[in-house]
Amino acid sequence: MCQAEEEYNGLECKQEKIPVPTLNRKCIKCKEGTAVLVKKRVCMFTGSCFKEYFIHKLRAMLGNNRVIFPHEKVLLAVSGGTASYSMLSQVQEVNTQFFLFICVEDSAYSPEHKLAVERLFSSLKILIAKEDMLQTLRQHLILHIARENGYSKVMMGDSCSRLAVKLLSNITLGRRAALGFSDHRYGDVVIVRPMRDYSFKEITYYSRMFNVPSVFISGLDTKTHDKASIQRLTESFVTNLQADFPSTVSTIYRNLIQSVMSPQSQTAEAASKCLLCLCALDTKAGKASAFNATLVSEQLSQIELQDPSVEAPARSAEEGQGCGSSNRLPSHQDLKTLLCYSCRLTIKDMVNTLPPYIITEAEKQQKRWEMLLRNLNE
Amino acid sequence: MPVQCSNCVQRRAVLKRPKTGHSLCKDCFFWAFEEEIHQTIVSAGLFNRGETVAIGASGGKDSTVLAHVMKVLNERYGYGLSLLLLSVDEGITGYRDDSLETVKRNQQQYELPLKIVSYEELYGWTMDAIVKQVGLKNNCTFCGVFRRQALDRGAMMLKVDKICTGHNADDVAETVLMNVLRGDIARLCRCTSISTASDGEGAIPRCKPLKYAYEKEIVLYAYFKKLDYFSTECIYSPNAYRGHARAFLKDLESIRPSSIIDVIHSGETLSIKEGVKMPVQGTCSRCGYISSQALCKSCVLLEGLNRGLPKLGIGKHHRLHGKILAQEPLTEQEEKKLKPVDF
Repeated sequence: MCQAEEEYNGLECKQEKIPVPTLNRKCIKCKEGTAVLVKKRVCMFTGSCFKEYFIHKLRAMLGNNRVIFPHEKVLLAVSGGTASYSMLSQVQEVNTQFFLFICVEDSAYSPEHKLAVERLFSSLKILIAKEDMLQTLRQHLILHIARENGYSKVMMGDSCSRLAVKLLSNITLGRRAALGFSDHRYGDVVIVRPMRDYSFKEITYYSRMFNVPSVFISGLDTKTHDKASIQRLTESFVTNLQADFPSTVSTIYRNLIQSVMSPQSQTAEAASKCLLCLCALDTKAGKASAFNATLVSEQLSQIELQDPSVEAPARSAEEGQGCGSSNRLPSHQDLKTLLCYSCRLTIKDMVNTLPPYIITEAEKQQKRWEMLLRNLNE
Repeated sequence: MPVQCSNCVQRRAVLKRPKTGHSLCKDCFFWAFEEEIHQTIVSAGLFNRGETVAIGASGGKDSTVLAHVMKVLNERYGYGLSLLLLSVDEGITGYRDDSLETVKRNQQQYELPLKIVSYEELYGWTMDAIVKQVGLKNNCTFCGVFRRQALDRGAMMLKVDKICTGHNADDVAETVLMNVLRGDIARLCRCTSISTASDGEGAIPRCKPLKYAYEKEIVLYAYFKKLDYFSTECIYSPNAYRGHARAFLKDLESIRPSSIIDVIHSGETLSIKEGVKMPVQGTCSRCGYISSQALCKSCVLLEGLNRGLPKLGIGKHHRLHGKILAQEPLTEQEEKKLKPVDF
C-alpha cells in the first residue's frame, strides 16, 4: 500500500498468508543445513551460507561498479562502530590485493586545538548545526589524510539504513545530496560506500556470528530525546515507519540513489562549489523558487531592506587591491554567498569561530570572484 | 514590556510570524502575507489579463483565504481577472454538506458566482457508498482521483481558463516527503511545480498561489480577518499514509520553522539521472481524460467499484486494462485478489 510500484503477486500483498518461521527450517541456499537466522521473513540461512552471501554481495558490488581496481591504495575510514569494522573484516576476506591503510578517528587533541574545537561547537547554538558541522569537518579531515598520504580512494562504512536516514534528513535540511556508491565531488579523491546494500540488521547478524569486534562511541545525539535535532527525529521516524511498513528503508534508498542525479556530478567549476559541503551551489535559483520566497519574506517582515538580488560576493572597499593577502576577515554576508542553501542555515549564528583553513579557502574564493568580475568588466 | 512591530515600529506587535519569527502588528502582517502571495503570482507568471479563473473552494481555511486574497489582490493590483468559485460535493455526510453551507455563505460574502459539482452526478457514487465497499484504508485514493477530475470537468463546464487551488507550503512539503517515502520519482519531479503544464487538449492548467504560505500563517490570517470557514477534519482521513508525513513535518517545524520551505527547496532542486524511465502523458481510451496508461485511474477505479472489485485501482493493474476495455470478465484468481478484505 505504501509503495508506488507494488505488485499483486509479490510477497508484499497483504492478503497472502506469510509462513511464520519455525524451528528446524532448511536453509534456502544449500537446502541441507538447518537455518539459524532469518533475513526477511522467508529468507533463512545457515551460518556459513549467510557468510558466503554476505561476502559475495561485496565482491559483486566492487566488481560491477569498477571504481576500485586491484593493487590500488584504498583508505578505510573506520570509526569503530559495527558497520565500519564489518567492512574492514570483509575487505580483508575478499581481497588481499588491496593495500590498506587504516584510519581510525580518535579524539586525542593538543590543549589549544581542544579549546578551538570547543569554541567552534559552542558557537553553534542548535544541535542540528553541531551535527552538520561535525559531519562536514569529519569529511574534510578524511579527505586531508587521504590527500596527504597519496590515497585516491576512500571507503566508508555506511549501511543502507544509515544512508536512507541520511538521505531523508538531507532533504529536510534543504540539501539535495544523493549519496551514491561513488562520490566524485572532491575531485582527486573518490569516496566509495561498499556497505550501502546491507541493512543494519544484516551487518549486526554478521558481526555477532563471526565475532567482529566493535566499539560504541556516543555521538552528539546519543540519549537525546526525539526532537533534539532534525537528524535525530528523522532517524526515529524512519525506524518507526520501518516497523509498520518493512519496505520503507529500501524504497527510500533504492529510488533516490538510482534515480536522482547527485548534485556533485553536475559539472561545476571550483568557484561555484559550496565552501563547506563542496556540492554545487543551489542559490542562484530563479525568481519563482522557494529560496526567493524566503528572501522576500525576510524583506517584508522588517524595516531594514537587505537587497536579495545581489548574489556575487561583496567586494571590498579597496578595489584595486590585487592578489595580495588581505587582513580583513570575511564578513557574514561574504561567507553566505559562498555557501549552499543548507550550509547557510548551519552557520547562521557563527562566523569568526570557523577553523582557519576554511577562512583561508573563503578568502581565496572571494579573490577568484573579484578577478573574474574584473576580467569581465575589461 | 510590549514588543514593537519589526516593520513599522510604531504599533505594538500582536503576533509572531511562524515563518520568520518576526513580531508584527496586524496590519503589517496582513500586508506582508498578501504581498508575498502577490510576489509569488507575479514572479511565476500565473495569470494573464482578462482570464477567467475558477477558485477551488471547499469551505476550509485554505480556500476561503485564497478566495479572499485573490479578490483583494485582483482589485489592488488590477490583475483584470474574473473570478468564480468552484466546489466539489463528495457526498460525505456530516462533513461535506456542512462545508458546502460555508461555501454558499462565501459566495454571498465575496460576491462571486458559485458552481457545485458532485460525485453523484459525475460518477454515480458518493464517498459514503465508496467507503462502505472499500473500507477505511484506501478510500483517500478514490476521493483524490475523483476530485481532480471533478474539478476539471466543472471548470470545463464553466469554460474557465485556469483553476487555482488553496494548496499551501505544508501541503507541498508533505507531498514531497510522501513521494520520497513511497519512492515515486515521477511525482517527485512534478509535485513542486507551482502550476501544471498547459499543453494538451482538455487540460485546464491548475496553479497554487499559496504555495509558499505556511498553514499556521493562513490560520492566523483567517482568524485576524475574521473570515468565515469550516474547520473540521474529514472523518475518513485518520488512516491515510499522508498522516505519517504530516506528523513528521509538524515535528520538523517545531524544531526548525524554516524546515517546510527547506523541504520544498530540496524538492525543487532535485534533478533526475539520464536514462531513468518517466511516464509519458497520453489520453484515456475510454473518457479522453489525460492519462499515462491506456485507461485513466478514474475509469479503473469506477470499473472496480461497479464490478464489486474495489481493489482494482489499488496497486499495479495495467495488465488488466485490455480486459477492462474489452469488457471481458476477469478470471476467478484475478477476482479473488481484487475483492475487499473480509474481517
